[in-house]
Amino acid sequence: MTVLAHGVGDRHDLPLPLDLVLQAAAVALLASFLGLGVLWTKPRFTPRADRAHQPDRAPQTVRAPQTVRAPWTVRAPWTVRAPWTVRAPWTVRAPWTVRAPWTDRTPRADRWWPLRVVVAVGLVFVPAVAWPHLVFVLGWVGVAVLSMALGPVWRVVNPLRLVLRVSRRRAYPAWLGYWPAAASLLAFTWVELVEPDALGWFLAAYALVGVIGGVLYGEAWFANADGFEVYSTLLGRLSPLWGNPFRALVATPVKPGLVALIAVCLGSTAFDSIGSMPSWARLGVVPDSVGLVGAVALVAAGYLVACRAFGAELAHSLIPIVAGYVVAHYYSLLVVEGQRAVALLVGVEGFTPSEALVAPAVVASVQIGAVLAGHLLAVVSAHDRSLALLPAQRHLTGQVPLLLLMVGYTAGGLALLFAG
Amino acid sequence: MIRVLLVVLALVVGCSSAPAESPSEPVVLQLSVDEPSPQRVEVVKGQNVEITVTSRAKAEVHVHGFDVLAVAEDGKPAALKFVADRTGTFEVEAHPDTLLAQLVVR
Repeated sequence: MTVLAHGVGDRHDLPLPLDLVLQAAAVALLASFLGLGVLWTKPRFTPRADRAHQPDRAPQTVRAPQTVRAPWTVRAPWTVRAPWTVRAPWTVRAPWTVRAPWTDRTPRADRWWPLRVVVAVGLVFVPAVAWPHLVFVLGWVGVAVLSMALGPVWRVVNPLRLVLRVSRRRAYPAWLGYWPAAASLLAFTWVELVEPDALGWFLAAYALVGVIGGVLYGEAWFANADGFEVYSTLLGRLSPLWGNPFRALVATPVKPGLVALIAVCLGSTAFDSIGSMPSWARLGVVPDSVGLVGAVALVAAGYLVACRAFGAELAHSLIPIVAGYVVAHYYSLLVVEGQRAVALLVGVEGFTPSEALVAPAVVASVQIGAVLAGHLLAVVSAHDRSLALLPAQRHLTGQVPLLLLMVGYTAGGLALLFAG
Repeated sequence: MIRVLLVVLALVVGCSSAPAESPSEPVVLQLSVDEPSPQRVEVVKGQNVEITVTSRAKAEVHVHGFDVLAVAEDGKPAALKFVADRTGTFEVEAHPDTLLAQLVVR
């Protein structure tokens, strides 16, 4: 049995050239603090439901002259309703959705059940050799990337949701929040990065827990406790198909375990890079399990220290950083092993994937582009939310710790792409 | 003066854009399973690679991505020879789980 990183794949990306990494880090640093100076000074991205209650609509809050928006901030196309977000036929009036699909109350989410039946029946016919590729490549990476583009994909296809037809629908305990999702994602990434042979056990346990939770708590279980669905829904907030992504980001419900969840997503991907470095192997004494938990703990501690004044209120702004790093880290795996996954699913073994799309220059461009784009989206998102949370006299200084944290995450991610 | 600068610029551009040619001599590595000390080794795409692995216990040695496999035993090192014709980072590993080296093929 060959033990491979990711459980699948036989090549890693080339280390990024050092000069490129340093330039990208410098751009991230500069753009962050430039953004602090030139971005708008009043929060713009409020969740749609809250807009009616915004205090700046009240007549007594006349804008002071110095806060009038500078001309270059007013018309930024991504801030105010862009025509393609409001009028596009598939966003508002699509017959198959009434609300944005990540809202917790979707009474008729059950209408996708025929698709779920197809998925569930299809899984029975998956050849045994194709399972690692199906889960680690198409499921873990493919669904994540698809979610960034299209919205919460896993919510639609999740075959476990079929149990909603027989659910008791008790009230989901609020204190549990996202903790079960964070725990299941940590377990999954442990299987992915440390013990790929345990995949079968993990999937069996995941299905069993999902069925029990779904029968007991119904819809709320999948929206809060199903790791894959919560992950897909978080990344789905970046999809431009459902309106302004920044609004979707800020509407992320703040529940217990949100910071842990995001730390698992970011820390586990970081550990994948750390664990494949020769120096980690030379270190030898630290078990991979400890390294994985340590990376997650480090990410979480960074956030909790930098944002202790805000609690989890700014955690949503880290979602673009997670997304950018996922794309950078897994792009070549998805392109190369994705082809093999499809071949295995249709029963072709010994297929040689094309490597045309993973030429070194292409991979390096995708990696740098994704990390920087994620960083910039995160900075804008955090800036806007900070304005709403901070008192006016601390608008500038209060943002600095989170900005430094984001630059740290991004520089760390770039350093790992250089070293790992 | 401007001519001199232009010549210098042309020289600089010419130097930096010179394509890397794959050297004719192979990359030779001596590795040990008993005392692994994994390092990164730079290889030019198309270059020959020759790896010798010693081990006191019987060990299967594998280069990921090139599908070359050899068995090392006490007194009988494993010899692996191949052409590095893909770019990427590839692991030289003694199964089940001992990293011996990483080949960085550009």
